[in-house]
Amino acid sequence: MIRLLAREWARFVATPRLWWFTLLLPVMLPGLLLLIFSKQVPDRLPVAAVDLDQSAVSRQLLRALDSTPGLKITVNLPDLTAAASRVRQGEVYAVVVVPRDFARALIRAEQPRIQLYYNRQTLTAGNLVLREVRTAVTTTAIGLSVAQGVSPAVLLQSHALFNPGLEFGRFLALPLAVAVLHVLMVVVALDVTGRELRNGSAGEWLNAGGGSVVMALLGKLLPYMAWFVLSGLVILAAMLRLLGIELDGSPGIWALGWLSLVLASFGLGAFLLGLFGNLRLATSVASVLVSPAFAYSGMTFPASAMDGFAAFWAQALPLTHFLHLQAAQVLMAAPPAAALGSLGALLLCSLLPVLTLPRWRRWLTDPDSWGQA
Amino acid sequence: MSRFFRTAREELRVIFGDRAVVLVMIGGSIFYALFYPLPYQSQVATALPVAVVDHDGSALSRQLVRWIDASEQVRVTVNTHDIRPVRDAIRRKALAGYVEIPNDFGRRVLRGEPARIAVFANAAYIVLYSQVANATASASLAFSRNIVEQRLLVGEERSPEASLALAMPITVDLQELYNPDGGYANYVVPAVLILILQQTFLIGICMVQVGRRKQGRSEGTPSVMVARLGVYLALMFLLFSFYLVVVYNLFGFPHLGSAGVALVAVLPGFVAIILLGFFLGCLFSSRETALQVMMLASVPALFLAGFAWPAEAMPGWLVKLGRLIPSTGSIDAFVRVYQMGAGLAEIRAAWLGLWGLVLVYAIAAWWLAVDRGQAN
Repeated sequence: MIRLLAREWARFVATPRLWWFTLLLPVMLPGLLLLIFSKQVPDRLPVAAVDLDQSAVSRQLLRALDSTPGLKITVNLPDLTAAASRVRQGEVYAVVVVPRDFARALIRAEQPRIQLYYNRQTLTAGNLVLREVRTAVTTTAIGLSVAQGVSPAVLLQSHALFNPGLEFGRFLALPLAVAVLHVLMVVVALDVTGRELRNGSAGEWLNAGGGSVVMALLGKLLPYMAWFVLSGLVILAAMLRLLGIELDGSPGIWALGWLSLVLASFGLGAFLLGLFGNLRLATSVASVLVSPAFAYSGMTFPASAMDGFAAFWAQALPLTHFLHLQAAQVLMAAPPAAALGSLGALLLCSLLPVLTLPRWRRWLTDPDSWGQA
Repeated sequence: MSRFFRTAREELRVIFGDRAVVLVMIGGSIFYALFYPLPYQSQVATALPVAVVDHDGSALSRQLVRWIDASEQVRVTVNTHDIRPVRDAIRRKALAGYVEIPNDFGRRVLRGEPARIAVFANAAYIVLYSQVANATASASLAFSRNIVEQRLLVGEERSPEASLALAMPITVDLQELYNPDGGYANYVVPAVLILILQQTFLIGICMVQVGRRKQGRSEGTPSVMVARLGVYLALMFLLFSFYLVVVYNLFGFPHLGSAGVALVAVLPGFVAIILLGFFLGCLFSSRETALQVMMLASVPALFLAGFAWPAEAMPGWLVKLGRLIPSTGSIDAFVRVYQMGAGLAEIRAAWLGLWGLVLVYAIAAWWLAVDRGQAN
């Protein structure tokens, strides 16, 4: 084992690429995501106004919209045609149109309607604008009703559980950081093992392991796994801190989940290389498994709405299991027992390389399989 | 001219003679475009399970529950007085949220006092929260308006219209633009298609470049570079047409723009991608490095593109930095032209910006090629 570790250390020191993969990128990629989502909640999203009424009331309404934190009326335009072009130019996410005779209709109690044209192609921004405009107009409308002695029958109060500020940082930046670390770990697992085959040093590697395939694999991968378990915990803990998240559930279960994801990621890498015996091919296949993994994870689009193959595939991916475990433990204060299924799935994934041990033996002993790019 | 075609044919031979390149560049482009939309295929989540914690149990509260249940987005699966099992179920994600109705709800409504109800939804998953909050807001607003209207009609001599107007003096007409159903696939996939094409071509081009360098062949003259660029551009357009025709029809994505304008819109972006590939191909030392780098770059590139997360909410300098990635401007131009029906005049700034990138990467690729050529 000592021989293996010393050999791996020498290889690591001589390979700048591995410094990037293990020292720089694990900090830089989550850091970049933190920067992208540094503003937790988008505010002052640009909206165009078309005020066809030009009355005191219409101006009052538009001022009310402009002063809601989520919106900013950046431009006043004479007609809808001009405003629609601004949407297509990507300058505004929505257009608010106040109809002609708005003030008169209001006085005559004819229930004037304002129009909100909002961009649903950019769904996140569009929905935020929609929510803000609806809230502002409803508040103004209720104010007007109350002024006339009519009060609403039912008032609804909305509470955002586990994320009171509706912050996108905790909802997206944290899971995305895990997603990139997951990709990174699979890449590292494939790289350190695959290059031995590619460069024809696999025999030497097996010798250092005393001829045992299991020993050779463990001696190579364990140092990287230990490093990612520790550095990952530090990085993710730092992210929680920077995102202002109090870990509400069980820190132990969360850490255990992370450990299992590290094992599963390296397990996946060792399994795929064992299967294909070729760094490039194994990396290509790994990319199919890990690159779209976030889309399948159900963190954004609900897993319950996926059907057939997608629902099955989501459950087959290790990332899905950790991300839901993390959301449950970190944000939702879920009981530790809720994590059992996820932990089991991750540990199962980390055992995958066992299936390919016979093939590993072949790759490590058959010089004909070496040197393939 | 004949030399141009000779170089182009030679490059095609290199590409299609290399299993690894074909697998990623052609196979990957097709596979990912069909694989990526699958989780979003149902477009919107419907019938999310919610509970009602009804402390009142009056006829009115039961009526309100029916109104909420009638919405397409949520389904009331539990109706109880006990809040604890409901909270547990939310933690286990068996429920997306719950509505709490206080015990004086019915009485207050009958007395004409505003009655308060509350909705609690799981905002650890913002999509769940929005859906539950929106559905209950719409239902309770309609319920409330209905009651006020009835009150006014009974109480005084008023026309139904006037009662309605008093109950809600202003209403908002919602006009959804470009993605009428608010479909998730319609929102994500068009942009992701561009990113897929960028990543697979960057990998493929780098693999060819590195392979060529390993064989000790020089990078060639500008005219050789132009001929090779033509080959990759033709392949990109071919695959892009496959997206617009096959992928769009298969998944039924709506679009307002025409394919012709879309091709013009993405042209500078595609040229920039290829030139960036030439440039990176000179930097990487082994064929696998490109694959590894692109796997790691795709998530940041997707979010820097400014469609999934609004650019307005990112630091300004980061937005500018993100524009150095060809996919950022290409996604912007393509989505606005093809999804939103923008004319070329309306994407002018993004389009010219992409030509600027072409210039930058052309110079960079050429400079590095010369530099490496001298080193050889």
